[in-house]
Amino acid sequence: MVEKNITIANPSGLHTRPAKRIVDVARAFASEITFIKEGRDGSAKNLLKLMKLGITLGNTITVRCEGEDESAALESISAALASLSE
Amino acid sequence: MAQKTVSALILSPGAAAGPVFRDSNASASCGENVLANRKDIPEAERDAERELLFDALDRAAADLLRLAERVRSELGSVLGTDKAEIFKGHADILQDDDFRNDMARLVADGYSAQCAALAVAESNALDMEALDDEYFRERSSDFRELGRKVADCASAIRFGSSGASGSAACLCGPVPPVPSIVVAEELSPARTVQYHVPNVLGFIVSKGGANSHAAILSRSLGIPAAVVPIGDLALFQSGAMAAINADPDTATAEPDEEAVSRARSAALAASLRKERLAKLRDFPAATSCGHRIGLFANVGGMKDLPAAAAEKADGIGLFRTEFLFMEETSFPDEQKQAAFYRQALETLRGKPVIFRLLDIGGDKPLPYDPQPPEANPFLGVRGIRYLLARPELLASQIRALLLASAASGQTVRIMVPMVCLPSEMKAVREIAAAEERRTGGHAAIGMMVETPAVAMSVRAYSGLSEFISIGTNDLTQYSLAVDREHDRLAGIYDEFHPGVLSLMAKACADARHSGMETGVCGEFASRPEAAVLLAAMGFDELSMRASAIASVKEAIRSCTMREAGALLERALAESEAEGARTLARAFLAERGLGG
Repeated sequence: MVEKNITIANPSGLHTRPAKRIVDVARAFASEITFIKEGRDGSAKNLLKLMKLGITLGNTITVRCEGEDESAALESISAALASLSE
Repeated sequence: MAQKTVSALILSPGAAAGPVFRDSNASASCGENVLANRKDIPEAERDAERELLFDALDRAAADLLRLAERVRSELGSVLGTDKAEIFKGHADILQDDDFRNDMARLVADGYSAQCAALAVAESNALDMEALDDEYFRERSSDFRELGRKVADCASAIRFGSSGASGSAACLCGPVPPVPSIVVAEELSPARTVQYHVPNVLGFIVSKGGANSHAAILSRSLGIPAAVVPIGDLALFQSGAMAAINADPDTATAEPDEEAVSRARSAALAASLRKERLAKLRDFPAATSCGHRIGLFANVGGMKDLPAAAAEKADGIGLFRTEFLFMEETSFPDEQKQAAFYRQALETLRGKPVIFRLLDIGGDKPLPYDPQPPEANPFLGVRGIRYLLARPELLASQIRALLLASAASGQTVRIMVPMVCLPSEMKAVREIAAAEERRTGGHAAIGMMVETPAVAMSVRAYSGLSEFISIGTNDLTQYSLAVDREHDRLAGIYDEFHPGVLSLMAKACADARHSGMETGVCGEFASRPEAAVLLAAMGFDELSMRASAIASVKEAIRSCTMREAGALLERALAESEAEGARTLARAFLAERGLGG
């Protein structure tokens, strides 16, 4: 298992469009990918769960990846979060 | 009935007039949602009901994916291809196992497919509304819309409208036969894009916020949209005339001829102007003789960055860092700050970004760092004075900026607020030099020119400041000894005061002489008639809210430096602000601009 804390820096947070982008990236990996915000967690492969975490600008979340391709998954998810600009 | 005007919240700016076309929402187009309230489906029929539910979910999802594809291929150039993601995301939710299983569970308990769809959608909408963020709260209407869509599809399947025509009935309501103002209680994102036809002049609705998907889409489509109080929606009767007015923000039911023609000419003027300004977006801000001026954007929070990029700003001339500190309960740590700074640097892709150090004063203290009261906070501990009294905080912000610089491989420009003494710049430079060695980042350090004394002594900062930026708001307040917001002294505060203009010109000339880059980041720079004068003074860049860039660019491109120089000379010779302003406005009017 690998994990990393990431601060959300895109203005509108992970609502529909940005979250959908993250979900698409997450689904390319075999690993379980979990976002944890203030003790609540949700799979990054599930748009509904991700949106319900209500992740917004300035939130620090933990991204946890577990599985055969966990390192690559963590790296891709981190990059995808950093590239959100909207 | 006589003309009636009601106040409106404008979701998408603009003016329009035309006959009302009532949109009674998608559900009506499929007939009533029969069975929408039934919770007593006999057990023997529940398996079939579940099949119906899943069919409806699949059909609604397929419709949304088709819509996403259409938005991407047909409207991508207008809306930006990313808008299709909204509909793909909605399709995703309809295919979500939890979402489907929650509905299936209700069906197993005897709910009709429609009733289950509406109930689960409502419960998700309520979850969204409970979140502490405006963006998320406004997603709640999307869920309700999804529920209605699934319910509509279930009705369509149940009552036998089959195949493609059935799907079409689920998604596409009637479109206006003649150019009309569409009036509806609420617009769904899907309805908004379907309305991208020449026959839609504007939207009047009674629900919706500025961040709703429908609002975002109507702004992208350039269709005016107004929210009126729910009780007033009934004023807008099908077939009667209606108008949306831009200034002031109102909507008018049954407008008289004069009101109609006013709205129409405002719409025409706005569309011509918008077309003109949009064309300018890809051109540089250069005078007609080829002198280039950088037009930068002011950024007060991360939400302003996309607009800066969209308007093709040449850089960020003022990144206010206060918002990072205001919304916290204690000083944000370096890593957190650095993430924001880095995002700004990367959004601008190598263009310069000028970060102003935390600019706090006694008039607006941080909630977690109270300051002793001062008799006159504007003449007290503010800007760099505040920071120098908190060396740890100052060093940590500079370190965060340099970490962002190191991580992105770009130079950060650090601007020091409210500088009055060279010693203040020396102190900041010493800290920055130490932090550069620690972090491997690189900074250019400059200062705000906000007081008359500094404007007159810029040369004293040679070697201490690599750039200057005039804060015209404070410079004007301090020069004229008047509070900008003073309710009984309106008219004294005026940047066109020849004395204030002279201070700006002097500071610019001296800074250039000392090899500093020169900029302006106050309100003044966002006015086209002022921008021409500032260009003539020799400023390298003008920074303003992103939405002002296009009209300032238009002014800059309309004249030569020689013409602007002659205007400046005449303006400086005026004895009063009014005279200088009139000259500058006439200058633009002669070139067919302003009004």
